[in-house]
Parts: sequence; structure tokens; C-alpha cells
Amino acid sequence: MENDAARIRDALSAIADVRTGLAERMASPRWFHPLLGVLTAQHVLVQGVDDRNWTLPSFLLLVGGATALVASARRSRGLLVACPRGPRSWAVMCLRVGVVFAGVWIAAVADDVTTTVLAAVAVVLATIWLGRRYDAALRRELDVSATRIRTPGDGRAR
Amino acid sequence: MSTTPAFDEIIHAPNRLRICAALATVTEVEFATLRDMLGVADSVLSKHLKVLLDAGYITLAKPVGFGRVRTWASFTAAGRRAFDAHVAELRRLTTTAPAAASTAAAQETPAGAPGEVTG
Repeated sequence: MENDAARIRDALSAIADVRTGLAERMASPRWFHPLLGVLTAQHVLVQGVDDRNWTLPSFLLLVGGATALVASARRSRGLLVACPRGPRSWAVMCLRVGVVFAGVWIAAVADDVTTTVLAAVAVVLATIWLGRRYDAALRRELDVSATRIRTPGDGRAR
Repeated sequence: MSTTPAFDEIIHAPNRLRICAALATVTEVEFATLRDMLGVADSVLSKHLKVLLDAGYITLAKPVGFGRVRTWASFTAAGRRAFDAHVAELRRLTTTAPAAASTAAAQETPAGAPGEVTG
């Protein structure tokens, strides 16, 4: 029985170790967030300085570029996390999306070059900063789940 | 929705447990990443993936594109359910095993009895 108890603890520790190991691999490549920021910023710029003829091509460039970036990061890391894993990473993800919408809206409403450029720069910086916060939130959530699984008596399985 | 604890012999083998733990944590994992994580040979990992694949717990994909073809593994819904149930059972046993160990030291547990854990 004691051997069984030890084996069970070892099995739970192995699961926790895997989560900790994956948390260390979770960081996006260095180029990911800056390039995503540039892709987003070009869409913001187009809203402010263009006569709307380039809105659709710019949007397609954003979507296509973001898809290619995710595919490259997936190959580079050897793993894919398709969606946030907990409340903190969900919150950061929602904030990222909100910043992009705000940037596009400000550029479209303001309709002057200086405001548009400032909005685009703000979107680049926010995308980079929030992207790194998102990675950190994912890692933290995995670390917390690894700690939780080692703790007997906690009813949550995941 | 709570998970009903259920021990799963297929998942419980140490390397398969770690493979499943990885697949439960992320959406997709590449073969080489799993191999490095487990520290096993390609053939050993292939064997374990085959067992999980035959059980319907994982899917393997080899998307074609630029560069060499890589194998990606991901959980099926059944695999995720089985893993969650297995972890729930391990956790249940963790809370009950110490008490059981002290009270049932003199008792023999029949082979294959519910709750018995084998390597």
C-alpha cells in the first residue's frame, strides 16, 4: 500500500514536472510580438491616412501575416497553445484585442496624420508589452496548475 | 462539470502519462519536442504514441509545407476526458491512500482490485 501511495505521488509529480517544463518553453520567439505589432500598426495607419481603398488589403495582410507568424512560432517552439489557459491570460488577451480596436477607431475618427501615427506607435508598443505579459501569464498559470496538482486534497483535477 | 475519477491503465504507464500531461497542457506538441521532453529514443516515443493512437486518445498530423515534414500530436476529446478522469482518480487515491495504508497493512489487496495502482 505504501508503495502504491508513493507511485501515485510520483505519477502526480511527473505530471507537474511536465507542466513546469512546458511553462519554460512557452515564451514566444523574440521577433513574434514586434512583427505582430508592425502588422497591426499598418492597419491602424491605413485607417487614418487612406481613403479606405486600402482597408481590405490591409486587413487581409494583418490576418494573413498573423497566421504566418503563429505558424512560424509554432514550428520554432515545437508546440502550440491555441487559446488562453486561465483568467489572467484571458484578461491580457482581451486587453490586447481592445487596444487594437481602440487604435483603429481613434485613427478612423481622428482623420489626421499626427493622431494616426501616434495611435499606430501606441499600438506597436502595447502589442509588444501585452504580448510579453500574455506569455508571462500563461507560464504563471501553468506553474500554478503544477503546484496545485502536487497538493493533496485539492479537488481540481486540471 | 466535475470529472468522474477513473483509473486508466493505458494512460498510467510513466512515459504515456507524461505524454498525456503535455498534450493536456497545450493544444499541439511536435514529435521532437515530446522526445526531448521525455528523454527517450524516437522508437520508444513512436511505440507509446501508437498505443495512445490505437486507444483513440490522440491524433497525429503530418502537415506538409516548407521544410521537412514534422509530426504533431494532439488530444482527442476522448483522450482529454480519460486523462482528466485518470488524474482525478490519482488525486482521489492520494487523499485516501495514506489512511488506507495504515488501516489495511495486514490486508492483501487482490490483483486488479479497484484502486490498485500498477507501474
